[in-house]
Amino acid sequence: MIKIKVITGSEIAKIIGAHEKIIYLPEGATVNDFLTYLKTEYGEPMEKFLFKSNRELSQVVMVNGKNIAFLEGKDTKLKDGDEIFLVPIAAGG
Amino acid sequence: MYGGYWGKVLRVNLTNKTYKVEPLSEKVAKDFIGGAGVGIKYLYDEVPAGTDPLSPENKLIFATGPLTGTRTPSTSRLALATKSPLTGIVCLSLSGGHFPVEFKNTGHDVLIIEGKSEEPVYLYIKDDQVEFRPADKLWGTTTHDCEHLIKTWLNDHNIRVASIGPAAENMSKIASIMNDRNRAFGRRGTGTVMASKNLKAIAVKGTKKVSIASEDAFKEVHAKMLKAFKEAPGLYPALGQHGTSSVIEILWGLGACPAKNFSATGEWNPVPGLGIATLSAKKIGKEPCYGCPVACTQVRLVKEGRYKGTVSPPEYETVFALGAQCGIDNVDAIIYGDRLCNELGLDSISTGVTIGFAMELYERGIITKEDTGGLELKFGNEEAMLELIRQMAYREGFGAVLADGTKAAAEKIGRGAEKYAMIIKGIEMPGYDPRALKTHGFSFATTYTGADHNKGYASQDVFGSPVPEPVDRLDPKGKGRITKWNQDAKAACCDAAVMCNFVFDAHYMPGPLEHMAELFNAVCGYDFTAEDVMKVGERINNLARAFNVREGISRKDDTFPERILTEPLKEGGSKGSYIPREQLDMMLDEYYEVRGWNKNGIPTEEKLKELGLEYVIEDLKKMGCL
Repeated sequence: MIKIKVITGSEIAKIIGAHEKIIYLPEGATVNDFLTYLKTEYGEPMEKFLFKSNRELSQVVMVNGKNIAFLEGKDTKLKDGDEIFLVPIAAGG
Repeated sequence: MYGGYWGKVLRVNLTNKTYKVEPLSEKVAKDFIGGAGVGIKYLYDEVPAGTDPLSPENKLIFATGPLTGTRTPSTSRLALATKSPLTGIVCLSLSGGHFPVEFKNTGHDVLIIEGKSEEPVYLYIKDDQVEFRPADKLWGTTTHDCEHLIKTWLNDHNIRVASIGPAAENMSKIASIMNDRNRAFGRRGTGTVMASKNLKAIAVKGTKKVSIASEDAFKEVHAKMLKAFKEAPGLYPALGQHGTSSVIEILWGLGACPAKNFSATGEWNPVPGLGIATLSAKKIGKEPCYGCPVACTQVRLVKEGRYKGTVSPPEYETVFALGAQCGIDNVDAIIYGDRLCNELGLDSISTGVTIGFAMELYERGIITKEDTGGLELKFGNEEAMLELIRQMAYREGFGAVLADGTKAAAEKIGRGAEKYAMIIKGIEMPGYDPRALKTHGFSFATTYTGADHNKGYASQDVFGSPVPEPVDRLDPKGKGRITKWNQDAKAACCDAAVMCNFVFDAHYMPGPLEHMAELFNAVCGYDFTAEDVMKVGERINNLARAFNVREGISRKDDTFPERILTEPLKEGGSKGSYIPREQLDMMLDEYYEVRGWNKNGIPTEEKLKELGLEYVIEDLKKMGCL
């Protein structure tokens, strides 16, 4: 198993009960597996926040501070000690 | 006249106490849309190079856009163009609340205030009537009290008021104009310009309703917009519930939340003290702008302790500036400090960044208790921070040294202090570390107002927005192109329209520019395409740049503080990152090329012609800039 730290500043924090959480995934897990884990673990409310009605991700996923769009997308492989950051596509000032 | 406009400019002369109404030309309206565009056009034409910002020759140009006063949500915004006493270049500030729509409802698009009154006055604009009323008794009041007294004395609490506080009266160059209690025409000394004219406040009451070009087309685009609002994950759930301060946790995650005068970004964790959980516990309600379904402003109450009973709605920037920047993690002190800044009429970003700068000087031994009048100015000292806010507004004690912002303070202190001044073009940096957000940061270095997070907000960096394309925030390549897109899109769609930045960013439907073109066409009766909208944004940015070039701005000024250029981030999600000078040069070369500017950052003759700004060419030639 690999240890992953999930950090989120969005509504997802409400669902998982914390802004930071340690989870464990099998060796060789990808970002897609991580998303599946969240859906399975937290059900419909999580699905609502993770995906838009057209099934596109509504959150930006960053692995160790890098947007997965610049890695391998949802196929990005995770390793022990990685930090995953979920950021809502929003605005701020 | 096109829909969405009255076609009227109200020109008020404070020297003679006269006013007149002039037509707003259709060409100016269409070329610049409104708000920042029209404001900068008038500023360029009427405030010549070398004008002293605090002389009667400087002007306050308030401009609404065609969307303001219509049913388009989140458009109660008003732009103010003037020449900044802080930076000596374009000052363009926008405020929300209710004042903007109320002004539009008086039947005017633009308000130009010129000259200087001999004695303190305030203006009362009621539809077509303008009254010059004595303000000698109001001089010295805080902004909240001034607003309350004007409403009481005019016997109408539905009047909307914009006023200045003691900081502006004492000519602090970082003073704001406040309206609807907690809304600010902030940054760059807007309040100072108003004080220099002996103008304490502007009260407005409007009963008219502007008409639009096509109700049917508007209905369709309005429905589309509200649907996109609902689907935007960051709008109602994030901004609507937690406000702008929700960004603090995102920034911490990216290693981008500046702390202790940008010396501890990524090291000093703001989340336990200043994160969503702490702030949510203080929330008692919201304070929406007129007609905004999002209502991002969160009113917070201190329920316990020495600041008990204080109510204020600090935005993220204030939480950063009075908090992380000063190493302070007691949110109660920040709520109290926010209230002080708003009532005294100080810009909270410039105030907090300047105090944090002084704290670093103290910690380094560059200044001592002898300089600070006995204040133990260490990072984390909230009492010192709050005392300095008061002293700065009244120019007392060490506050007199800090009252005109970081640049002036560094000059007064000397002893190498300027090395720690976190300023760009003379204005204090907002709460995003450019070393961790290179697109966003690069916009601070190049935008026409100096370090400004709102004139080209890079949602791609901060929130991973894929519009117009995703970016790698730490890679310096491609930053010129995306920065131009951000600056031009925001200038047209937000600052000229005028529409709130947040909803433009967040509604993020595929093709936001096409959507904005549809909206302008429905409201105004234009025939805009997405490209036309961007062209307006480009025109605004070029004219503003030309104003600055006339004042001596060039490539040398498009830069960062030394710390950003030389010190890699030591910890956090962007550890090791910085922007060495050669990287900045590469980014500038790319930016100037896509902008059609020469290597020195001056718009070329071809570009100015393409944008219909031929009159600028002659000016720049005369100045020897072209």
